[in-house]
Amino acid sequence: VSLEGLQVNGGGNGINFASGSELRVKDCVVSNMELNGIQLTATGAAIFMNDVDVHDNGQSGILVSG
Amino acid sequence: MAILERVRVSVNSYGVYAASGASVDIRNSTATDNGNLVASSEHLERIGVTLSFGTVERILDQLADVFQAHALVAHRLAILLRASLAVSGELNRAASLLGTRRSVVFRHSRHEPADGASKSRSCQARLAAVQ
Repeated sequence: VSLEGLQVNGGGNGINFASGSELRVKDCVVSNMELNGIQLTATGAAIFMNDVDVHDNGQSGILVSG
Repeated sequence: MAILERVRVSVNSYGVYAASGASVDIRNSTATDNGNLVASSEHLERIGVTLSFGTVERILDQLADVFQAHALVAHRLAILLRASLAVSGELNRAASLLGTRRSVVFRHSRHEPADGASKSRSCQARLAAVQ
């Protein structure tokens, strides 16, 4: 999964990657979420984030548990 | 494995929350005004934070203050500093400031090219705060 140039503003979790082998996030802004900005729970996945701005989220900016 | 590069994390309850078993490598990123930069469990496998030398130079005093303020968890920190020989003086200063009152292991080695050429000398210092 590849996400590029997105602005995600408001909601529960901005990005929730629960399953999959690889996630790439580039040039994205994730803000004003009630929960986590980016939640990564997919087990064993390769995650790459470049030039990402995560701010003003209620819980974690970036949660990594996979 | 999550690699975060040039990521800006600000004004969250937790900047980066790495749960049990997670492996996170943070490079040239910033975290400001978060409740915590990294929250981890006792079983967290690894967190790596990589900063450019210029970044370390700019925020060295702030880093040293944070490490002093959290001396009780300093044994969980391992810091790898790399620089060319040309800035080894600054590197030593950084290692000194980042040290805590606990034991500090400091290794300073020089790697010579295998063919004996004088080019590409490098200096590597490893600083680890231990219990």
